Amino acid sequence: MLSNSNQTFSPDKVKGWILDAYPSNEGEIAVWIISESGERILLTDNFHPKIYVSAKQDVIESLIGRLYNNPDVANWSFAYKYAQPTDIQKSKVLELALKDCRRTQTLTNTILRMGDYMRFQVHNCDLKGDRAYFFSHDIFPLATVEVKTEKAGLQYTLLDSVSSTDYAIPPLRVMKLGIEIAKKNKIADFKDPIGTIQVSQDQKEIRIDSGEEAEKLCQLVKAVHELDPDILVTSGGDSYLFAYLAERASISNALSSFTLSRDSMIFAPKTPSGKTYFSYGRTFYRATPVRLFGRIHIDESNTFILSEAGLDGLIEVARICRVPLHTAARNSIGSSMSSLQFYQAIKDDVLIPRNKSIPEAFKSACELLIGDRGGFVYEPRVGTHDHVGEVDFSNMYPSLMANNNISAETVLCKCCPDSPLRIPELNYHICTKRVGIVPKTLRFVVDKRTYYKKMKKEASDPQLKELYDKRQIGLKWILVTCFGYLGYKNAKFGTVDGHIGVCAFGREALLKASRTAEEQGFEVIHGIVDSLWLKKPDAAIEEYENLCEAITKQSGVPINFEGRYKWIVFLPSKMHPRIGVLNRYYGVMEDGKIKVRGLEIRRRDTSRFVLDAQTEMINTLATANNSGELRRKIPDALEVVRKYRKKLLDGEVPVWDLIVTKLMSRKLERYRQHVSQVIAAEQLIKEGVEIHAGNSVKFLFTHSDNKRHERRVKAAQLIEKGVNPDTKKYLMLLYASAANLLSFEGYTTESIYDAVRGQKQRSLSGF
Amino acid sequence: MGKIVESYKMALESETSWWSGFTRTLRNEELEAFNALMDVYRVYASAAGNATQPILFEPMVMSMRLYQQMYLQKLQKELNALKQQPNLQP
Repeated sequence: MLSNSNQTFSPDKVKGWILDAYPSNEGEIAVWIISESGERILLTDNFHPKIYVSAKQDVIESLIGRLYNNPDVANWSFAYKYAQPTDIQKSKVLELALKDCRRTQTLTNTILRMGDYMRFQVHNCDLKGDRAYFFSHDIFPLATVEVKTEKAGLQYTLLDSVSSTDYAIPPLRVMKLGIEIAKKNKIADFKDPIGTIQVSQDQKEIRIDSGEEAEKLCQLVKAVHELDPDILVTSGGDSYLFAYLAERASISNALSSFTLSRDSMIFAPKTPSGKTYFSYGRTFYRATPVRLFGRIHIDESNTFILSEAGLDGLIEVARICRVPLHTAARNSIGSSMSSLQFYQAIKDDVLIPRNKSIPEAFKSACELLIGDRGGFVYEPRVGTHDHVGEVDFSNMYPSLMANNNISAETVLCKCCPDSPLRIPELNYHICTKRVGIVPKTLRFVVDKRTYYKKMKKEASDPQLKELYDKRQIGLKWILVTCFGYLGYKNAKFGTVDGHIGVCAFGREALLKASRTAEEQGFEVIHGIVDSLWLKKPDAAIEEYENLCEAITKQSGVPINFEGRYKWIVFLPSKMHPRIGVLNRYYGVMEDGKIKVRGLEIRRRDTSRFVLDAQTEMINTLATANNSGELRRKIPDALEVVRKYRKKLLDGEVPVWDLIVTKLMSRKLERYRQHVSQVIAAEQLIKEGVEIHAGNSVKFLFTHSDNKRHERRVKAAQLIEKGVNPDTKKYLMLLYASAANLLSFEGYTTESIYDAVRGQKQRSLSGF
Repeated sequence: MGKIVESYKMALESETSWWSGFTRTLRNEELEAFNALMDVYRVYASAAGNATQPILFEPMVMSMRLYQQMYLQKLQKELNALKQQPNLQP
């Protein structure tokens, strides 16, 4: 729908949804409201965020005189707060209201300098302006509110709640923006002019491909203003696209009129930069966000939560964590969860420390040996099994954290050393007098997710089913991250002792659950942290359900029966064929669902060719009803390998199906070997492309055993017509994927080759 | 986890490397038996890890003893079953 309904005046009263909030002029926050009638209204509010200073009472009073003439301080007073999360009682602290939220860091540094970085502790100084504004007014993104404009500022009446599960979302206008660059070389750069601009919203598509470059940019601005989207979706907007557009606008002297935001802010050119970070054994790269004002810019290639949970999941996370939509889209889940904890801390009068202030308890070597362990695992019984049932603890770690009150201020608290609530094995006491910030936030998320899952099951409307599913996935990621974040060095309310305590509680829960299962006649085939694979000949489904009920009652953590497998295969290790590998299995459930873990089709670096072949092999095997039939299906699976081999040798496999994607786990110069991704990255850098640690590199194997390493692969962006893939290498990968799948019957890459060719090979070079 | 303390499985693999001098002297058949013995502690790695013994060799030996005991029980059961068969009665 075309709309020119932007309102830049402030009506006395408006009812609608909060779309965006950001600092505008000094001491002011701009708030965009989508009114009930569909108008997009800009309101402005005065805002003076507060920070707190704690120190010895006499020292803190001397600070007031020194800050009296500070240009950043609007006013001051004394307040009573819990200065440290572990404090049992409130203490007198200095409350400073700032003239502008963008001056928080400057004032913080001034105060710290005044105290020689020792005497004063500054609190609540890490809150961004938009979040501090949301917290202070108890509002959140896309909350339904009634706003009154009064002399003192905006007065909000919240007509919504973060706990609401059936909240209404305004019809958001979502625009997709794409650019084709008229590149002169293989790789486009900022010097290349704009080719085509494509804009789509609802059913409307606009293609801008005529006129001078300045004219194209003006047409884009006009289209954005006419279609007036709330959300602008790009692919590469943060890393490349917007910086490129700004550069081209600057070259064409069109920068002064190049405004894509809702307010009249001119688009500021930014040099693309970003940061590389390491999480859960993987390296990631995140480009610097490009922000629009009054619209939400989402870069599809720079968002985790949108790709996992869609727009509905993103909105749920933004609402619950009180983080603006554009930040929630880019934030790591840990950052969003911090926001949730900060809000809870402010509500509880606990000040947010500038640095994590709770150290890990001293441990002897023996205590470390006991405590510094992860979840428990039962090694799998290698081979095929019939009628194995799977039971999984639901939200195990978050539930244990919530049930056992694990938080920085509660583990080894000062107030109850004789507490009966103890961490198993380590015997650390946990507070019984107050509920910690972490459990409070988690209980809320766990309960909300459980409700969404229930609603998803009960809903008959497929659209509603999907909505609940997306929302529960969004919350799932908060719960998945909460345990790791508890042990993260920068988590303000994190605790290493709590972190290891959660694992101890988890081990105890799994061991007790398996003992109960054995008492009821089940055999434990495999177990990983929060899942058990159980076998009992001729057991009825009710027996599994009764077992789950007993375990739930015993542990306090719900455990669900996920289903029973017709057959399941636990695969052996390549190094030690008698030993099983954790989390490498596949099987078919009685409802026909195929479950695969740890095989090539689950890996990110598998080419489409191998992925298709292995998927077809699994689908062929999946027609078996028991392990006996499964073995009889092996020749059919080998036939699939033959088929794919023939396709490859006959040149019927498109080059794009052979592209392999690998992650740069470190900076290029820190690699010692010329591994494939390094060769491809070097080729791209030569063409002017920036490659950072955490980026993925796509390439084709062209001659993988060539002595000249630069000939071994070709970066995907540099592939030209007529390029020849390394057929031998791809055949090796195909055979290896088949061998992996059939290794439970003793197959190896060599024996797959023999089976496919129908002859005994002499050496692997004969592939 | 394993922030400070090496995971038990990795520690056990390091422990086996201490035996390289011993294995170098073994004949093929003996080496095969040695490797089978080493696989035993891999089977019980989680249980051994849960014992949290500072001396790694102790849970290794316990794993091997347990495996052998299990094997003896299995053989005993099979023997008993064979004894029950009438045509095998002396």
